[in-house]
Amino acid sequence: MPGRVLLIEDEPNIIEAISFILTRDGWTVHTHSDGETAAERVRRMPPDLVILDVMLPGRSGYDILRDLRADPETRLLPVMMLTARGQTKDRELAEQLGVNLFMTKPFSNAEILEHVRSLAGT
Amino acid sequence: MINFNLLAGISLGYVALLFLVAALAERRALRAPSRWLRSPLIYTLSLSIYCTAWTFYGAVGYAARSGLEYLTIYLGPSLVMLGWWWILRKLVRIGRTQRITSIADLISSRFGKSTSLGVIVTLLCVVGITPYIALQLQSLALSFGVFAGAAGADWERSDFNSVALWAAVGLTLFTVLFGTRNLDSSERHNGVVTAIALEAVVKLAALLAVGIFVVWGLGGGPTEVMDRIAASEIGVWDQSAGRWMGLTFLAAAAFLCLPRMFHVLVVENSSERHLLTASWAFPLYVLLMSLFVVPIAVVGLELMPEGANPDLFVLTVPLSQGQEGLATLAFLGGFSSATSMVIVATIALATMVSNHIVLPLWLSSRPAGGAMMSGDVRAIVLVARRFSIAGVLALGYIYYYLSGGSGALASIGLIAFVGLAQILPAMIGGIFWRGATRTGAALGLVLGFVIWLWTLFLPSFGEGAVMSTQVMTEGPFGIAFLRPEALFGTMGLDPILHATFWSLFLNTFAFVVGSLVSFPTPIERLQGAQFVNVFEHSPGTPTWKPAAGQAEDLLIMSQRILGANEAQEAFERAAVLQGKTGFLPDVTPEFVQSLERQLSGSVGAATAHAMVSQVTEGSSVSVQDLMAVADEAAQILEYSSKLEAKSDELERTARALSDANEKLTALSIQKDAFLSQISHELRTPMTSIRSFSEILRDGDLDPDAQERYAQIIHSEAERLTRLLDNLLDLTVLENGQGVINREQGQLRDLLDRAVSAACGEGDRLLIRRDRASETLELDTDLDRLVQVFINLIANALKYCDAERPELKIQLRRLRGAYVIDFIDNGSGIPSESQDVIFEKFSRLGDQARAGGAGLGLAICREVMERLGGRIAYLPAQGGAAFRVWLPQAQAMAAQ
Amino acid sequence: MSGPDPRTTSQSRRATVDVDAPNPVFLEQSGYRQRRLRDALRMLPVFGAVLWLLPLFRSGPEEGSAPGNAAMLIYIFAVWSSLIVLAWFLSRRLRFDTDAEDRGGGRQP
Repeated sequence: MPGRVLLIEDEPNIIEAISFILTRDGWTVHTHSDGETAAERVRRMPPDLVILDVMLPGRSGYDILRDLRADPETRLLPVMMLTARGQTKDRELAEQLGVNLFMTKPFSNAEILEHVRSLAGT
Repeated sequence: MINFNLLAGISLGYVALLFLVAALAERRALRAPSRWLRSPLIYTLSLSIYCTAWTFYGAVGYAARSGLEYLTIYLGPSLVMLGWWWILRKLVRIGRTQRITSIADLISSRFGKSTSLGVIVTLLCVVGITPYIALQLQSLALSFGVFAGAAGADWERSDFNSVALWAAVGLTLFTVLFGTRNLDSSERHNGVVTAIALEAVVKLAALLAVGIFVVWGLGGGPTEVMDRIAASEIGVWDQSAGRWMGLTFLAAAAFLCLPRMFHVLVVENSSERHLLTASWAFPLYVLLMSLFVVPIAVVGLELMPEGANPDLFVLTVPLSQGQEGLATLAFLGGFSSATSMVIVATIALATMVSNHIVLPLWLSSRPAGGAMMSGDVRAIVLVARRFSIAGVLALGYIYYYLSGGSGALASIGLIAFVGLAQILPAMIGGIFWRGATRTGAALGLVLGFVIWLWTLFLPSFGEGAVMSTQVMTEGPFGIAFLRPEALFGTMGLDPILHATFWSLFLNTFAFVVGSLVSFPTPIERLQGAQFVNVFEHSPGTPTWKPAAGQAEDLLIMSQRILGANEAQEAFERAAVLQGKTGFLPDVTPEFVQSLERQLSGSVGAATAHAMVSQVTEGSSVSVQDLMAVADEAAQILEYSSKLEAKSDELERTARALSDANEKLTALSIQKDAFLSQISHELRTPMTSIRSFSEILRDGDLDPDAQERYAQIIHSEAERLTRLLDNLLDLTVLENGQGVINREQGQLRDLLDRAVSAACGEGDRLLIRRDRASETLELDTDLDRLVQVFINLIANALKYCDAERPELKIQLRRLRGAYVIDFIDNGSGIPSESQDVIFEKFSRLGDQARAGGAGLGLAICREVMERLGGRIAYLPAQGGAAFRVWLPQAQAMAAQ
Repeated sequence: MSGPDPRTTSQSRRATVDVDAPNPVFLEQSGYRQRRLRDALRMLPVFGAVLWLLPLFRSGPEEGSAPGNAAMLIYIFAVWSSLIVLAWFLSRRLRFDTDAEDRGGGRQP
């Protein structure tokens, strides 16, 4: 059954696209576009899934992930990372930090929907 | 008889001529540094302000009363000038290397840039010189009165006063106009100096003409005049040895210490070589000035009625013979003597008052860091100087008015000499004795000043005027050995000698003892070494550790004082010397020291020091630390200056190498980063495109959404295209390929094009231009240039974060090149990022809002390099500021 | 960009390049002349002062043969003129540029 997704991303068009896809599928989507305050936002209102962009203003997605994994409350929270850089070492770094899923942009809508369902769905 | 109006007309015409000469000289100096304007001849003539109205008119009176004693006033300075190798050479060198602005600045700078010493010397000068200025005003009024009297008018006191008042007003105007044009004293006052050189010629010619008339016209030739002298009442040599020696010494001391003399000798000196010429030419000048003094006096005593004022013989003798033309020339000579003295004395005093009293007060009235905060220091300095000029002249007039233009003024010349001579021990000690300290100098100056006031200045107002008769005859509170004219019971001495002896003796004594028992601060010791060993030591003795001061803060401050262009040039120069590029050199001790010296040319050493220290805070502590090291370092320096030359070079090379290395490393990292960036920049728009096209494909959308999503796809596709275009562009430019299409066009049209291309309808950015000034014919690749302008405007559009964003576009001419500044009012670019903004993909801050790939400035840089111009970030302008140097050859002035 | 400012360079150059070799004991003739010229320059004001003080020894009211001011005037001006001529001569001969004591500082454009 669908739940809440927090989308941390700063490109307005991508935010709009992902929100549309997920909302259409019945998910409640919250968005946040500032890197610096993102981790705090997650702690304040933990969602069922976090979709995290890598290149964010203020703080990188890696740093945010590191924070989330260091905090017992969010240690097990499913996190899906999106990046447009897509080099191998980016993926390695994300996996090392404990990401649940690493996706490169561009993605197909069906793909992202499927991953969200499998990560957040019970 | 020549009437008063005609005479007033002649003087006005003469004044107009002076204005004209000064203005022409200023203009000529501005256009091209003229060799003639700065010749040794002009330098020598400018020294003639030593001869004031007091010597022009008064020398004859002096001779009529006391025989040859008047000569001492000229012999002393002649000796100083002939002995230039001893003192003047050193003073001039120090003045140049330390950028000294006045005698107060010299003393203050030598003794650790002390503010209090600057104040003491300034006060001493103001007290001593104000009556002297009053004396000049009096002589002007008197000489007008002579003509009025000859024409039958009987002048009232108020008539004299109004002449003096108008003279003071006119002199204020002239001095403000030509004396405060430039701030940096090293730029010197070409107009003023040329005008006083002209006046020097006039007064010499006038006195010689009167002399020749008297000797050959009235006296019957030289031989007969000699007989007349022998037969006259002043024909016998009964000179008091004490006065002869004392006055010669006093005149020599005054020649060095008078603020106006120091100003022309040291501050206005443009080349040490001029001393070579002046060493014989100035003695020659004063010889000629004094040649006919005795004949005029003797003939005047014979011709003129009993009781005629011998001070005015130069005027009255020709007048009594009906030689009105000659008398008018003599009048102009006296007029020249008075005005040139007042002008230079006022400039010198005003510089001191504004640098040592007004500015320190202003500075201390602001919170720490004040020099950097709001307000244009330059404007304040100029205003301070103008008000000081008006103030000094007003004081002079008031003094004249109050003293009633009476005989009280007549003796003021020598009295001022004694007062100013109090600076001599500190000055001579300061440049020859490293052990001289601030405490000693202050003690000596204050003690000498007080004794001078007590024994000479106050009594000069006449018995009962300031000091009661009782004090004069019995001493204060009946203490006999403090009697003003018989200090410590030394009776029977001439008052001038008495005052000279005691004031200078106790002054020197206090100076020496004070210096011996006190311990100098580190800055004093360093300054002392630099002054005393000015010929041996390099000026590079480090005074500062690399302090916490930021180059950008220093630049902001310097711009306020030196003006934007000059400060930027100085910083750029310093950066180049360090082997760096850009406007911000490393804040090394050498840099701080040279900057401080440059600033002191405008505001004096003490103020410059205070201002720079505000920025490079904590310097006083680090100097203390440094001192221990500096002593050893100085010894090593003596041996190893040669090595230093090499190591400097090495250091520069090493710096360049390490810079290059850093760049290389950065490049290879960049290559990786570049690919990853390209990937990012391409994938981001692609993500939106792919996602929304899938949404559209799925169908089941209301028409509004459909339209909206199609629009997004479209704009993201455009963004992709733009990015690819830019990338391609950059590659082409970087590889030096691509054609340059040279065309001709007007800069104004290019900017119009750029503005309309970059700014859309709803943009809030206000663009401020002065379209009228943008007339510049260009011959270059216009489309490329427009592209640069567009990128810069777009940059401001995107990143300017001001409430009401504004972009100022300004064409300027800078050292022969044309530059265009683009300055916005946002928060600018932090100095640590200024190096990278021209790199590819270097985007600062919020990228989503920017919507660009960070290639714009990189393209600008490449384009400008291709076109043979340059672009750079201009720090410290308030907002983000870019400067575009237009290609030199292709920019042709339209006019 | 133009070259560095002459002022700055002359200062830094003075700091570094103009270093004398240890003073040689014997100088070539022209160098020797220059040094004596500077000595003469130093002594000029001293002699001038002494000559101008000389008349004082001849004054005194009790002496009947006090010299007249006319003669004194001629004497003082004669000394003056000779000093000026000497100073002029010295200034013509002096090579300011190559002045060893100056260590390059006197080099002006």
